[in-house]
Amino acid sequence: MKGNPVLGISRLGRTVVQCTSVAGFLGLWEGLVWLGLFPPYLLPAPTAVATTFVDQIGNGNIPRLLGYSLRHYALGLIWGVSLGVLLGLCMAWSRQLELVLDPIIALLRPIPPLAWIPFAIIWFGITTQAAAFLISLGAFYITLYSTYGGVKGIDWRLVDVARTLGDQSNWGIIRRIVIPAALPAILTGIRTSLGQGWMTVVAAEMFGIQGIGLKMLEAAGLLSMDVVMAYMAVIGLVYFGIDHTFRTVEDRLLRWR
Amino acid sequence: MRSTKLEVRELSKVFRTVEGREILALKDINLEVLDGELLCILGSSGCGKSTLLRIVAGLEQPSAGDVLINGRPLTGPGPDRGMVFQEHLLFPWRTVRQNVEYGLEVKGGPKTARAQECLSMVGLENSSEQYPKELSGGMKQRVGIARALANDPAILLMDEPFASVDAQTRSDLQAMLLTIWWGTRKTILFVTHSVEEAVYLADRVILMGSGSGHIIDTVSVDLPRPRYRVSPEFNDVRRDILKRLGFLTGE
Amino acid sequence: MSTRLTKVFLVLFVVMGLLQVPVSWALDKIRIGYMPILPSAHEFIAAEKGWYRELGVPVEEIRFSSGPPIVQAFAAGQVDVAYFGIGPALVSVAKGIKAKVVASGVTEQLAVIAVNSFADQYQKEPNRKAFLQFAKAKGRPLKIATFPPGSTPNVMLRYWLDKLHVDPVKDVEILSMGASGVRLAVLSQKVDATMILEPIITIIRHSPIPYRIVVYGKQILPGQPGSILFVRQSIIDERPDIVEKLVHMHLKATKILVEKRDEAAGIISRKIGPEALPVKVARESLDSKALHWVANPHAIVDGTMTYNRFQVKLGTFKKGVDPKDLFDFRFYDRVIKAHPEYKGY
Repeated sequence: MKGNPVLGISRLGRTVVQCTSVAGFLGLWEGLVWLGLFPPYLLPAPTAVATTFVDQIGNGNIPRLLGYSLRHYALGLIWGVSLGVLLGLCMAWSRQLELVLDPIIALLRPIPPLAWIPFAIIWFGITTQAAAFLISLGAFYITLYSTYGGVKGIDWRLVDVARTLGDQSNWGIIRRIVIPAALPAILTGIRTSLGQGWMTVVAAEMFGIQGIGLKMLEAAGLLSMDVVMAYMAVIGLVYFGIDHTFRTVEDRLLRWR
Repeated sequence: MRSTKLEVRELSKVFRTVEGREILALKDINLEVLDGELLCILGSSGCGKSTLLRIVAGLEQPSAGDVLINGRPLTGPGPDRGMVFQEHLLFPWRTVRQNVEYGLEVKGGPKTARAQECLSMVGLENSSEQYPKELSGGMKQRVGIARALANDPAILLMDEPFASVDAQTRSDLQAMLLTIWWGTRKTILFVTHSVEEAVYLADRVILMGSGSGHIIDTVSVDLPRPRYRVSPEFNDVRRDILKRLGFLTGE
Repeated sequence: MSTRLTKVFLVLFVVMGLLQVPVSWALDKIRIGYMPILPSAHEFIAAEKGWYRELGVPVEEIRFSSGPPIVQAFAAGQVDVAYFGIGPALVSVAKGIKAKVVASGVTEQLAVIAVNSFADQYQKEPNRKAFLQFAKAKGRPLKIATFPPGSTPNVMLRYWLDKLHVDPVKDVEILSMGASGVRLAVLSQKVDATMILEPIITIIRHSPIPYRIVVYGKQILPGQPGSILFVRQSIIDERPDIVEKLVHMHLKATKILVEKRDEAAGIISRKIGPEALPVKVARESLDSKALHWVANPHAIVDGTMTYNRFQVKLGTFKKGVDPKDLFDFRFYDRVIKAHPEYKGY
């Protein structure tokens, strides 16, 4: 009953293989650039990217621009998620509200957040709010529908149980039954928003708002592709951190599952 | 002389299907339950016994008739009636203790001591920090009973609570219920489709006809407790009930 | 195991070899990059008049919203001929792209437009104090919209601020975006100022917003190079005849832009879009003080070098560009010799 020999190797062995694989990939890449097959504006060397990465941290650019981007991201998510959860709850709870709002949202939802850029500029200018607005749109629709679906899908018999235990007010039922029961769906919505929002940050900044997205666009215009790639690494690393943190929080909140 | 705790008068319930058809679930139900009585409502599935219990709980409105508690008409669900459901229906996101604390939390005020007290009544004082997913079916039902008891309701409504556990666990739970009843002297309405369970538990058994939604008979069980399921007296009552339900016509 | 590895290396070497062999190529079409702004007007005229048919190869026109994206497209080999600023041309050459400036388009084409409150202040004190006063009154620094870093307006804006000893990070806020973004931001009054070129200057002047011209490009850097005609080296080497025709067309278009402004305005409006640029506004912008139609590449060499030295100072490049790597005067000189009527443009 011996399985795949690769899966049979020890944890240490696997780590060694993984590291070698990454190192090999980087080495091959470096070699290609070193051979002069590609001009640096088409493919910067990994060492050049690493140097630029360190430089950009040293000169304060990465912390500063990442700070801006995270601000856009956080503001947009807070607005989008809280409105989405709130409205999703209300729509799932009240038949009348559902009837009134559903067609409007169905009409607006297919418009991608970035299509709102012209209005974002007219309404908010080239500001943090404009970027936050675009990010909040995506987060809003995602959490709205996940909350709505989550609430619609809860075991409504639990509401009967709560009522026999003396819980009579709508607010009590929503707070003690509906929200916790729909929490897995709500959190899935928030996690999806985290990913979608991070993509929107980069795109939204490209219309002129200070942040990582604009920096990448500007660097690309100057053909400084090592800078572009250093910021791509920042985007990837930061998102990895955000997603990992959220999963940890999610697992804690849903450890009852 | 014991007073009447619960009275059901000329109660009817009509359900309307999506296509607009009317289904008569309960018809002209009259019932008096004495304070501290353990009353079983016995019938096969679809006889309306669960609907009756849900109406008494306040979760459904009757189409006609009244339900009186201590002589006062019922207005809705309330903490004076605790309910135990067939599929335990625990709140999965709450620990055992938090499930039991639910009613106390709604009422406000201290809760942990009372919750712990109820948990010891059902023998789960050591599982209070576990989540429902970690419990066996029988343990879940115990938590359901403790949760219903926490508010100290005068009436306990039990909707086939032991129908989906194995035989051994069921008899353990039945014995535990009798102990609790004995200790608290609560009025209990116990819905079941098992004749044996009804005879084992009840002071009085209400027989409901299958599909008709009305009471066909009432049987008092005057056997002393603890009852033995294999004793000839026990079997006499069983046979009597089965006969009245129309199952032993050939005899 | 070892034989498999050998095979992998073999394939790798073959692929590398293939990459290095210069593919002999036949020019099947020419892709021209331009922007919806007046410095690209030569391109509009050549296209509208059907002159491209004389080239003997099909032409594909590609519209961009600012210079830097054209640089990227040029680097990716997706554009062969570009009408853009001297800034992007310098970026391209400095980064090792093989291409040359074969003609100049316009010079001193820029202007700074600002909200009246700042314009008044600047008129009184044309120095850093005007910026500080504005920031103090508004509680935030002056917001200036312009094209992205590397573009000519962006570099000239920084050159102007540098001359006035204004700190481009602390004393002002520079917002970079494409042509339509700048228009939108200024017309919706979301920015206080802009360093921009025609026809946006005239469009802004035509709108009811309280903004006016603060300073012209000529006052910032006399002889400032503006737009240029940029051609990929491979085309210069393989098809010099086509490049010469392009330069000839460029001169013909320059003559129309100077002498037949009514006709030129109609073409420009049609090309940019009459709803975005009505003929009347196009006609007026052709009279703008911010436009100097200079096709002679010799005329912009000094200005370009000043400009390039400033780019090095900004840190865009580590070292300056050699004019020999940037300019190719042969085509202009040949056309002028053959057609003396274009002399002076």
